[in-house]
Amino acid sequence: MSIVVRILTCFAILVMSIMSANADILKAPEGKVILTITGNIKHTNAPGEARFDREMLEALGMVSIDTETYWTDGVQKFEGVPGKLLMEAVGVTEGKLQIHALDKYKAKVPVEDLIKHRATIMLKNMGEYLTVAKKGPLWLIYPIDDEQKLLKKQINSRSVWQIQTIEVL
Amino acid sequence: MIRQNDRIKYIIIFIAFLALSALLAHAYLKNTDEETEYTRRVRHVVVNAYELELKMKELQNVYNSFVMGHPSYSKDDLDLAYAITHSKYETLMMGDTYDLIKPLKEGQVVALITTNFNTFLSLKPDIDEARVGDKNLTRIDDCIKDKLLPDIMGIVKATRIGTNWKSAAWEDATKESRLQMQFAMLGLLMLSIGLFSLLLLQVRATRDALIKAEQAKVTKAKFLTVAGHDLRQPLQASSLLLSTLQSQSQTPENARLFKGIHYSLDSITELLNGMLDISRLDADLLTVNREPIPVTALVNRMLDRYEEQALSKNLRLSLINPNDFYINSDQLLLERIISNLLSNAIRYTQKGKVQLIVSSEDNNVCITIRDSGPGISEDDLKLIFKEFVQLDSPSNEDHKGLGLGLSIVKRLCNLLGHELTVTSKPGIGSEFKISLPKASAAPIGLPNKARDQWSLVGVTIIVVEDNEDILSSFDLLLSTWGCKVVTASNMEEAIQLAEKLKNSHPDDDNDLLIISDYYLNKDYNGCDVIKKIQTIIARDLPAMVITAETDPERLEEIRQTGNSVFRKPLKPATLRVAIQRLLRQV
Repeated sequence: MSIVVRILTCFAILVMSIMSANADILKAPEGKVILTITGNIKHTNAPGEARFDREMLEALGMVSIDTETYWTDGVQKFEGVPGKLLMEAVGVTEGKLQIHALDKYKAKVPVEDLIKHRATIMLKNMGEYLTVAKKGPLWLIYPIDDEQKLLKKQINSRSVWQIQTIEVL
Repeated sequence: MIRQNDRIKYIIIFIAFLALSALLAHAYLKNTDEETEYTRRVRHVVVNAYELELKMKELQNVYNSFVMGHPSYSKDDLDLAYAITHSKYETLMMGDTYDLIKPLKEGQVVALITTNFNTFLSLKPDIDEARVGDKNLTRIDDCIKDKLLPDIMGIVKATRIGTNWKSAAWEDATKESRLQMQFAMLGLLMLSIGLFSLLLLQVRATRDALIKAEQAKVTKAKFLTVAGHDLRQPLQASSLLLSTLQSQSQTPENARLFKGIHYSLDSITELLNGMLDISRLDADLLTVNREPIPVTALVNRMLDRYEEQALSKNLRLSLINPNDFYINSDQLLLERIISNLLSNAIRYTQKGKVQLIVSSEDNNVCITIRDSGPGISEDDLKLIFKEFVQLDSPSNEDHKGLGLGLSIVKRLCNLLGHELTVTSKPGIGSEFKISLPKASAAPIGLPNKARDQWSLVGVTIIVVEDNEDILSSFDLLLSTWGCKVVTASNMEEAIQLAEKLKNSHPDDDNDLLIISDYYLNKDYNGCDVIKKIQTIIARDLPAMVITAETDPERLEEIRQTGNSVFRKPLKPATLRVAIQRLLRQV
């Protein structure tokens, strides 16, 4: 009986490794899970989900962006994971995201925003990790500069803070 | 007329108008955008204020449940609820949201939020220390219920969509787009005022020009009237002299010459009359004198006038007048209408007949002039009433006039309000029909055939005329008809004459008649002389006043004196019939 289970497990691992041959298999989170991606994704580390702790997110590649937002005073330094990298990690290239926040706010965001318009999942503001009181732990921010093609009102409702779950539609 | 200078002015105004309109449109759109953006941000503030209220209530709920030992809530849930509520304060107190709230109620709202936030922060240690069965439960619950929530309700109330935002937006009025809009609107207003005053000037100039033109017309008409008066005198003299000459020396050889000269004189008279009529119509100088007119007398007079002309062309001129009617019209003007139509009919008809028909239709009397002439084609019917239009017809090559006749007819009919209709068939003939309103006066019995050739032999006629030529031509003409003529050239001679006659003609009734010119002297006129003679002879003698006057009002004045009026130049045939009528009192 245990042999059969082992063989099946091996087989399952084999199949999974073949399916995700061209990308790293997502490793399981070790710390506290701060982001869960569900829905139509290619890479998972739990049944139907991709779960991330802070270290996993930082490992995807951090960038530093100086920008102003409508909810902060003046230009501020933010650090976070480019949305593009996060999407690549779960194998999403197009479609829409439904982003759910801790305060029960939710908004639909096109994947295009993350890939093309440089929307970034911020973890740090002014060198410190974002707390829930400061709109943390994760905050989707669109850099506002000359290259930004989106209108203020579009950016406004999509800049979700206190992100908890991302649902790929 | 717009001069070159004016045109440039208008083009500049037009361009400025366009530019300012574009600026206005641009500023308006920009302002609309700004307003939309402002509204959006305001909505954001309002939503976040409500959110704060909601999360505060949630925090209260989670805290109470946790402390009372509800199994669904953990310490983590409480910390999260606190942190989320904290973030709602942050949202209101930072960035754009804060900028918008700042001016509300002169900073009172911001102060309220700050105090409220500080109270909220003071709860932090208690929340951190919270555990199931905490003694602080009542205090913290009361704090939220009595202090935090009422203030938050105040904040919500202050940030709700309403007058607060409108006045805050107004405070923000230094916006560029608003200034641009005000500038553009002011500019457009000034341009409109400028344009309006320019147009006003233009209108005034046009009106002045029109008044000048109108004055010129009246002057022209007055000049023509005076000139016409002077031209009639020699015409009248020539006409009378020619008739006399003709009766004395007509031979078969020179008959055509006489006829030609007569015709030319008639043409000149007609042209003169037409020209005067048109100029008077142009200058609106004609006054209409409506009165009941007996149709029979009128049409008979018309027939008398044109009989000779018709006979000379071998045309049958006939009258169909079964009843006696009275109509409402102006005698002189109606005579002009009918005589123009009759003379046209006779002129253009080469053979056959011309008929003058009086008929009755409901409340109207129709006078129809029908001829067997060449007729008028349908296309030409539209043209005939225009001035100076003469239809091309081989038959009237030698009858060229000014082409004013029908134009005068049409305009007189319009003036009098009589309906004029034309029907015509090319090759068969034309029919002009004038519809006149019946007058209420009772018809009086007038003899229909009043045109018998009564003899004038033995009739004594007193002629008063200051013009020697006319006087002698009258003398000659009347003598050839067998009349006994006595002449006077002024009042004194007339008085002498009258006294002489009084003795020689004690009581012979029907053989004495006075013909007088109207304008004799500046102290008296023809009517005065006639009255004087009548007084001296002590009899109501029939009298005729002959004048070159064309003013209808003056003619009416003369008619009021009870004398018959005739306009110069008077043709022999007309004169003869008129004398016969007056003597027989028909």
